[in-house]
Amino acid sequence: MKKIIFFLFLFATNMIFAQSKVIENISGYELLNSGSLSDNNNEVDGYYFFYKVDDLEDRKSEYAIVILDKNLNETARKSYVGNKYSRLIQGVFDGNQITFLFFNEQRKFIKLIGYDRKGQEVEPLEYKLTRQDVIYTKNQYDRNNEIRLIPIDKKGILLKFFKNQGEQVQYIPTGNGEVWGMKNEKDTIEYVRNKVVDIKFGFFGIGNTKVGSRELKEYKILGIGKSFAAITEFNIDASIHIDAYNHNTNYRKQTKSSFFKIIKVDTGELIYSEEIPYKIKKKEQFKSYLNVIFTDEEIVALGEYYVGPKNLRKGISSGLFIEKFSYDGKKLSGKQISWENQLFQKFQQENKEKGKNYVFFHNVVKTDDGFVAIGEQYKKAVSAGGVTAKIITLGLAQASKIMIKDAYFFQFDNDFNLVDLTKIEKAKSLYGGLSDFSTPQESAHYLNTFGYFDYLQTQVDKKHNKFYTTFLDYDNSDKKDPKLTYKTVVFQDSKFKETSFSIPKNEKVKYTALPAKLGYVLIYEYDEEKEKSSLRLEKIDVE
Amino acid sequence: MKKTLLVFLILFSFFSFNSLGQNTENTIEYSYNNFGKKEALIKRIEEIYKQKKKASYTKEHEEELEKFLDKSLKRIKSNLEDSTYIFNEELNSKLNNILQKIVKNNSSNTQEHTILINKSLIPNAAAYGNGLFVVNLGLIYLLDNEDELAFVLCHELAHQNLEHSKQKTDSIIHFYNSKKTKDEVEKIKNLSYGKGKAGRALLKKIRYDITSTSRVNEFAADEYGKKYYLNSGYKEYFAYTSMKKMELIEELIFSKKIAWDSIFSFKNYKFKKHLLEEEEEEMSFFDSDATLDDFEENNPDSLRTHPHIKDRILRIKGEIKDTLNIPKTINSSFKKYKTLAEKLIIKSYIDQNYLDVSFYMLANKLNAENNTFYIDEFSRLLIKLYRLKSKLALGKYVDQPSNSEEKSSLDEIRMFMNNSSIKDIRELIEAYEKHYGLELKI
Repeated sequence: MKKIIFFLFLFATNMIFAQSKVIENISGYELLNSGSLSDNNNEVDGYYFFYKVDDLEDRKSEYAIVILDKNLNETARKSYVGNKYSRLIQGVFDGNQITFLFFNEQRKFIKLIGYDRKGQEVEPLEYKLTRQDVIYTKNQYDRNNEIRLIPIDKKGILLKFFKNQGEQVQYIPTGNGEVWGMKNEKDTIEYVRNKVVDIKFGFFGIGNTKVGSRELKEYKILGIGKSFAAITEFNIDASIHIDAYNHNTNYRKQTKSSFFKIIKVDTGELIYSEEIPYKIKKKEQFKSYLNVIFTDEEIVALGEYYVGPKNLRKGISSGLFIEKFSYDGKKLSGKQISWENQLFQKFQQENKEKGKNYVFFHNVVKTDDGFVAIGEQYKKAVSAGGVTAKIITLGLAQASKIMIKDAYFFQFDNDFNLVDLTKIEKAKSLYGGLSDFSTPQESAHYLNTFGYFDYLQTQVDKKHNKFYTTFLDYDNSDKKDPKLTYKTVVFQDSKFKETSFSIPKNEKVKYTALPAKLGYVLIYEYDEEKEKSSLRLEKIDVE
Repeated sequence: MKKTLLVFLILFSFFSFNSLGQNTENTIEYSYNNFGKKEALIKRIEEIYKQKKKASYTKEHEEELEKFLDKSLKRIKSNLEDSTYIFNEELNSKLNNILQKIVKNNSSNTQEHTILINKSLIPNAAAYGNGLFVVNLGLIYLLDNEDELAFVLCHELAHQNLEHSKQKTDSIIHFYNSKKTKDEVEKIKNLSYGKGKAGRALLKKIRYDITSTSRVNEFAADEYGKKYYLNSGYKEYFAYTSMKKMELIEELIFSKKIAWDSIFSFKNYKFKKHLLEEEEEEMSFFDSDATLDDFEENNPDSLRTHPHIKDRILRIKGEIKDTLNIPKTINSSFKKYKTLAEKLIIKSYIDQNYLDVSFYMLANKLNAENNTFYIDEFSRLLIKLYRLKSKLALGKYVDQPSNSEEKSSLDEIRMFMNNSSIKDIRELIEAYEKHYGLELKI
């Protein structure tokens, strides 16, 4: 039977009287948000529901955090008193404690609160932010959720956030271990506040003014496993501009060099570090790491490589690379696969326009037989409407768009030789690219940053040599009424099979599919007429 | 975990379903829609509600009372439409006969009586006043003889004759519409801080006042019901056993172990026992098995509508001579009603797609009783399981197992249903077909 979410309204008497409705209104709990407690394999350990219970003095509120386990059984209903403007943005469970990340835009801080195994609240941690930090934090949270907590199994949590105008990665142990961090030094630029900016108006836009520059660090977490973390550290020259239109400051960035680092999480010990200069010569290579997996034997990193500064600037990669490392920090091997030589031929044959189809890789998964790289096909498309609009707007509208099409699974053996290629069809999506002058690859990176690709997540079931990859899709069987669909590709018995869940169209009931425990999907239904929500778990299954 | 089971069962009783309307040898029809009795029954219930409106104690909140009763009537009509209330000639006659016997022997009230049977598995009955009663199928399924059932009906008749339903309705309306409540609500609305806490405290107080009256009424109904019961010539001992079974409801309803190997003992088929285990390591957030609750508002003992059964039994035992030497056996003439109730529960629960409970009730019947009803219903259950899984809709009707360390039979069934793949179920259906010589359409 489905679970009724709004179980906090337990008053059983028939509520038909005006007075009882008034009492219900003043005593009810308001659901502010909800989310899943996930681990690094995108497996869901449970769910939280964050309710406002009461307004209190001193701009405080009482909140209720209701925690369900992965089978939707309620395990706790905790009271939390905090500032009334606090937003709960994420919750994680590392095996030792449940930790919640709050962001308070008005009071300019982020805060971690946690509950230990006994359900007792642990000492909270608060990080004060500047106004710039708040703007960045807000933007990052709204766009791609880069402000986040990452649970390290039975050890602690990694917090990635923005402070002192730069990204920070901080490890907070929840058991034994030491606090460590990778951070930007405190900003040395004195911001010009309330300065009258010399605004330069362009023909169709408003310019902005540079007020300073500095070196910045940014971090991309490539993978976590076996208490190790692989991180790319980008070193950036940033110039700071005041945007006259939005009255905000923003950064214009240029990458100097990056470091690929493998760190032992519970001690902060750097076991491997490699500098990758961005300024390369004509035949030199630049490596961009996509993700890193941690097998029982070794650490495996996958990425794309670029030859020459021109290709790098335009985002045109030359192929894939794989590197293997030991857990004591030694590089064991490295291999490159050029698009020209091996991998791309079959892919191009399947897609008629040779050389014009590309793959955007989202993930790589270790299987018993080797590796599977998961990607989506895209290509540049010119729309007729776009051309007309371009003529009418004297060239300002974009004629070229990026078409995202089918999903591709590239199977490699343990030595990274391409073994097979599997196409899973899905509906086309057409989006405006970066500009008419940018390469499709540049546009693809831009689209990925803003979440336009259909790839959602991959869950790996190591025990059964199985994984589940979910994409957003459209069921176009009824052309007048296409339905949003969650398409899950299941790799089992060395075969790819697909199953999908189409969101039913119903004016009164709204549906959403959400991540769940391994091999399941969580389906949320909201009946607007009855004002009732329900959650249910369904097993992802293929015959 | 037990509380979860009860909540599950209680929620269950509010869900509606539609009967398939087939009337073959092995299926039992139960929808009022198919017996041509619904219109007359609705007229009778409407008449009862007219009487209820006229019989109110107070004219102070007439409009609110009318709305309340209209909504209650609408719900009953809707439950007749969706077969929450079911019709079965034998069971309806049996219940009417027992009630008539009690009324005749007590001549306390000559009012016409109407009994509705609710398909719910929860052993319960209710008096709605003015001659309207509801008896759940679960009550007939749980009890073992006419005497035990008669005691429950005597208790409900006492509620009616003591006008408890009318009192409750009036008190609810009074509580919510009184000047005192309105003033308190206004005061709370004007609070700057702590509005929610004050509102919940007020709700709690109102609930406490209503439920404390309700608990007093239960003792009174036991006392009067006992008199009706004895006057009707029923055996004292069974009043006690009837109550005792209510106390042990959880142990009695879901206590049987499922003999998995025996149920699925088919030629060329081996039941996959790993389907009864968690697919991944079980993990809990907290050391405690119980829900950690910082809010006091849930399930406080003071908000029970009924007193604890043990207190009620103590009172009855104090007043009725304890005759424990009477052997506790299932009355053979009553057994057919129990079986009928069981079959109706199985069929209606499969119709509603609540496959875990119906699986539990069917599980140990397949080998023990070579009855085509059970074999056919089980095949229907397996096909529904296959179809629901194929449509990603099983979770609407079958929960995941509880988080309790000690797994019940129902948890095992839920584990099996959720863990099984579509292929597992198809293989099971094929083996089942061959074993019983059936041809099933998936």
